[in-house]
Amino acid sequence: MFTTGSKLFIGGTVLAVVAAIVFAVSYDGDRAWVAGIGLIAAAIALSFLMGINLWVRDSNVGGMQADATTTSAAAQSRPGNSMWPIVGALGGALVVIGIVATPVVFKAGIVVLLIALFEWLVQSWSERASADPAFNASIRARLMHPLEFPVLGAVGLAVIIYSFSRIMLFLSKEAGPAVFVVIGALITVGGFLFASKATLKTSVVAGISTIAALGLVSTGAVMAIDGERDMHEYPTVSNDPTVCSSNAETETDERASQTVAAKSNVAATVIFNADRQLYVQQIGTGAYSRVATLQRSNPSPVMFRNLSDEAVRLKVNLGTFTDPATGTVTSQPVTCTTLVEPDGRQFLSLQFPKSSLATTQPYSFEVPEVEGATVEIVVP
Amino acid sequence: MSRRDTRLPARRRRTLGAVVAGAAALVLGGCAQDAPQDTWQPAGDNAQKIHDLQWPVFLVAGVIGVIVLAVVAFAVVRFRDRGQPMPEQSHGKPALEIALTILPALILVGVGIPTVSTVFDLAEEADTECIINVTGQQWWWEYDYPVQDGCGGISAPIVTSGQLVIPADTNVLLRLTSRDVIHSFWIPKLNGKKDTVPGRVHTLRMQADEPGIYAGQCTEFCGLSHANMKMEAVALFPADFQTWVANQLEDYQAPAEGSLAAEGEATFTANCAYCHQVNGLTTTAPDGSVTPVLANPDEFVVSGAAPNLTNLMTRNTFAGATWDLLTEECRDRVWNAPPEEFGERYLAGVSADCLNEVDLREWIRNAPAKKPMYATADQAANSGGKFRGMPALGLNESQIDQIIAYLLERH
Ligand code: HEC
Ligand SMILES: [Cu+2]
Repeated sequence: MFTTGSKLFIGGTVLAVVAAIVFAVSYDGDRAWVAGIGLIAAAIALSFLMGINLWVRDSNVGGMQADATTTSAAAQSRPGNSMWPIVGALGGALVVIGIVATPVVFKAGIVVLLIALFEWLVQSWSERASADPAFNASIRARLMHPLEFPVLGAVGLAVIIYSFSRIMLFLSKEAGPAVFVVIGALITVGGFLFASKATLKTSVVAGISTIAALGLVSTGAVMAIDGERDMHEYPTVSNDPTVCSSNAETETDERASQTVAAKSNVAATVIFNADRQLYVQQIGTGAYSRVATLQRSNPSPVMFRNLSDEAVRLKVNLGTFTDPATGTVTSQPVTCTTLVEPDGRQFLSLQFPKSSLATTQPYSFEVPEVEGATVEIVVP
Repeated sequence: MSRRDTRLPARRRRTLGAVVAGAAALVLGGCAQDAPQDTWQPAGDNAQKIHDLQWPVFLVAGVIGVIVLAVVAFAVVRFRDRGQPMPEQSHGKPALEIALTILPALILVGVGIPTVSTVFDLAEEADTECIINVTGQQWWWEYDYPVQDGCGGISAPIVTSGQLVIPADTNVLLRLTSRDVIHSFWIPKLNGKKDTVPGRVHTLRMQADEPGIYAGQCTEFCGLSHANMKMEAVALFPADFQTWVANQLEDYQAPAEGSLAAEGEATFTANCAYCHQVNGLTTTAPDGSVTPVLANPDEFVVSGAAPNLTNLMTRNTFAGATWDLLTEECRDRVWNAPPEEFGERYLAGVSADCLNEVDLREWIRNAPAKKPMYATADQAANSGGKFRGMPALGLNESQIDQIIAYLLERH
C-alpha cells in the first residue's frame, strides 16, 4: 500500500505537525510565528513529497511486483561504501558535545549533520538511478561538483589563511618577515622545480603538497594554541585632572607611541607652534583660528600636532557644570593626550553631549602651563 | 499579394505593441517637465562640470553601444542557423586585433583625461568662501554653520535642518558626516552625491549660480524612512543671506504674557524641549532663578539629535523636507519666484496665513503615523531605550493649539 519512500515522508509530516502543535501550545514568545511558519511549511512540503512518492510509487518498479525489486536494472549494481553515515555520526556527536560545552561546537555539529544528510541523500539517489555505475557517478558529479568544489576551495583557503595568520601572530615582529621571506622563497623554488620537471609523477607532487599543507596546518594549530605574541597597548588618553594639568612626564607618557595610525580624517587639527601658540585648523579650510566649532552629540576626531621644541600635552576642558540651585560646581571633566614629543602627534576623539550653553566655563583646548595657549570650542 | 498576407500574426502583433508602448513610456519619461532633481539641468559650477563631462561620455558610449548592438543584431539574423554547412574556421588576424585593441584604448584615454581632471576640480578646497557642516541622521539632515569669517561672517553657530541655506554664487564647502548610519547627500542640480559616514568628515563643494530652491534626497539606503529623508538647498543673494544669518542669530522673543503662545511655551518646555533645542528658551524656578532650557536628545534618540526649532518658521518644510510648512499656494509663490524676488519671498518665512496647519498638526499629534519611524516604547526598548525618530506624545487638541501658536512665533 504505502511505498517505502512515502512512509519516510509520512513520518516526517506527522513529526512536523506534532512539533508545530507542541510549539504553539507551549511557547508564546515574541517570535513564535517565525518557528510556527517554518514548521507548518515543513509539514506542507513533506506532505507534498509524500504525495509525489505515492503517485510515482517511489519512481521505482511497481510496488506490487515484489520480485522486480531484486531483478530490476537498478537493483543489479551493489551500492559502494559510503562515508556519510560516519560523518553524520560525527555531526551528532558534535551536537551533543556542543549542547553541554560551547555553542560553536553545537553549530558546527548542525552544519556537519546537514552536509552529511544532504550528501547521503544525493548519493543514495544517484546510486540507484540506473544500472550503470559510471553513469550514476557522472550524474552525481554533475549535481554536486558545482556545489562541492567552491565550498571545499573556500574552506581550504580559509584554513591556509588562518594557519598563516596564527603563525604570523605567534612570531615576534622581527622574526615574522624573515620567516615569511624564507617560506615565500621555498614556495617559489618548489613551484619552479615542479614546473621544470615535467616528468615528475603526480603522486610525488601530491605527496609533497600534502606534507606541506599538513605542516602548515599543524604548525598553525600549535601556534594558535600557544597564543599570540604579547601585544602591548598603551593608552594615549587620560582623564585624570592632575595628569592633564601639567607637562610633567608620567609612566604612561614614556611608553606612548608618538605616531598616529588613524586612517580616519580629522574634523580639526590643533597645532602648538614654535612660538608656543595654540591654533586650530579645521578640515576644508587652511586658515588658522582661535575658535573651533565642533559638533554636538557626535564624535569629533581631533589631531594634536606639537611643532614646538618642548614635550607638551593637549588638554581639553570638557565643561564646567554647576548645580543651578546652589551654584556649586558639580563636575569639571577634562581629557588629555599623553606627552607629545617635539614634532610628534596624537589623536583624540571628542564628544560633547551638550551645547556650549550648558557649561559655565567655555569648552576649550589648552596646553597646560603655557600662558595664553588656549583655543575656545563652540558647540552649537 | 493581398494586404492581409503582409500582417503579422495576432500574437506577434500584441507583443510588438507592448514593446513599443513600454519603450515609448521610457522615452517619454525623460521629457518630464518640472523635474526638480535633474542632473541634466545643472544650476551651478560643480554640477556644470559634471554635466560637461557626462554628456560627451554618454554620447560616445551611446554611439558605440548602438553600433555594437546593430552589428550583433545583423550577425544574429544574417548568419542564423538555417542548416547551412559550418563555414571555414580561421584563427587570428593580427592587423585587425591590434587595431581593435588600440582604438578602444584611445577612446578610453580620451574619456579618462577629462574625467580625472574633473575629479580633481571637484575635490578642490582652496577656493572655499563659506563652510557648513552637514550631518545626516535617521531621517533628516542637520546643518550647522560654524563660527567663521567666511559666509560673510558668522559670529555664533547656527543650527538648522531640512533646508540648507547658502549664499548664491559663492563657493560653499560642505563637511559631511553622520550620527548613526551611512547616508548620502545629493542635490542633483548643484553637485554629485557624497556619502556621509559616521566618524568621518567628507567635503563636498556646493555652488548655485542663482537664488532658488534646489531639491535633493538621501541616496544611501538608511532604514525605515530613507524615502522620507529629503533635503533642499536654498540659495540667496549674499545680501539676503546676511539678512538670514542675522535673523537666525536674533535673541529669543518670549511670547506675550497671557497669550495662547505663552501657554504653548510652557507646553513646549514640558513636552518637547528635552529633545528639541530652542535657543534662548529659559525656565524660572519658584525661587525666581532663571536657567536656560537645554535639550538632551542624547538620552532619548539613538542619533543623539533632534531638529533645532529656534527658527522653525524660517524654513518652508519639516521632517526631512518631506512636508511643507507652507500652504500650496504660498509654496508655489516661493518655488516659482523669479530669482530677483526669490530672496524676499523666502525670507518672509511662514506667516499664520500661509501655515500648512494640517500636516504640522498631524505631525505633533502622532509623528510616527505620518512618517514611518522606529519610535514606539516597545521599539525603543529594542534600541537601548532610545527612539529612532519622534515618538507620539499623546497631546490633546488644545495643547496642540498652544504649541502651534508658539511655533508660529519661531521666526
Ligand atoms: C523623543 C524626542 C522628541 C520629542 C519629545 C519631540 N520630538 Fe519632535 N522630533 C524629534 C525627532 C528625532 C525629529 C526628526 C524626525 C524626522 O524628521 O525624521 C523631530 C522632528 C520634529 C519637527 C520637524 C522639524 C524639522 O525641522 O524638520 C517638529 C516641528 C517637531 N519635531 C515638533 C515637536 C514638538 C512640537 C514636540 C512636543 C510636542 C516634539 N517635537 C517632541 C524628536 C522629538
Ligand atoms: Cu539617509
